[in-house]
Amino acid sequence: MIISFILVISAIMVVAGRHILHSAFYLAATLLCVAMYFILLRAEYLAAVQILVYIGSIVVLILFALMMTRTKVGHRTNISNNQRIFAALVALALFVCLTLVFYNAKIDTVADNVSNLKIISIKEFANILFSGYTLPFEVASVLLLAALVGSVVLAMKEKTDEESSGDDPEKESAGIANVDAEKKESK
Amino acid sequence: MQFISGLELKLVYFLAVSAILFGIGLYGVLTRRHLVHILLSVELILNAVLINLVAFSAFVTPEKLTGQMFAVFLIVVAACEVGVGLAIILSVYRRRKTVDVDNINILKW
Repeated sequence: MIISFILVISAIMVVAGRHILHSAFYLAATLLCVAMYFILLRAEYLAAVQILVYIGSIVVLILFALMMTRTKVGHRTNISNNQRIFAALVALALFVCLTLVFYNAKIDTVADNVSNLKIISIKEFANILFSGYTLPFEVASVLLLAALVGSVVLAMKEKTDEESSGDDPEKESAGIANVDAEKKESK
Repeated sequence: MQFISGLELKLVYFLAVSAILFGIGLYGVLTRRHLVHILLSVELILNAVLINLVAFSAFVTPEKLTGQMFAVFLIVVAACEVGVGLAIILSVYRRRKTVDVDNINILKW
């Protein structure tokens, strides 16, 4: 229950914070709480992977991009009021509908309580990943290659009279995220 | 894990938490002005989906681990998407010299 409090408060601070740098760090706190949920749900490998890949490369990549777009330090008011109210109403309506659907759905669960969950060892996880899901695994590595090439091409400077042929920090940070995801894939 | 065996955490609880996170992320996507803020909220939505998947995998099919496999590939896809999205944001910033969504409105009638 404590984890859910921290999660909801961090998530609200992500979307309602004034300064974007604070929101990025609150996103890291939210992702940490999600990893704690994974440990609670007996998915320890997924928790470690998420901390490594999500917090370790995606949040870092976002911080790099914030540095490069030169966000101003200081307070700024964000939007006009009527859009905020409509968006809050839409989000609240979606949450109510989803919770009603989940509450009334008859899902036959194997275990009733979270402490009765079965513990799956990582050996079985690796078995299932590499025997049943080999094709998505290979496709995911091709996707990573495509995303790496694509983000490098998109972030390159245009060739002007000076000899600027690429944008090295962005290439580096795009490479960091993809190398981390590839390391996790090849584990 | 004796200290958490006193709580009654059913499947609906995890699904409700994921729905809350989804709603908060949706609110963030709809109301933020900075482009990178929108990307942060999209990551929040993706994490809500991750909790949902892993909760279903733990409670309904523990042996086949379907939700966890889906979650692994979803993390990979999210990493790719953030990389490409940030490259797009950088290009937009170089062209228009602004990252305010309200100012990027050439295509608007």
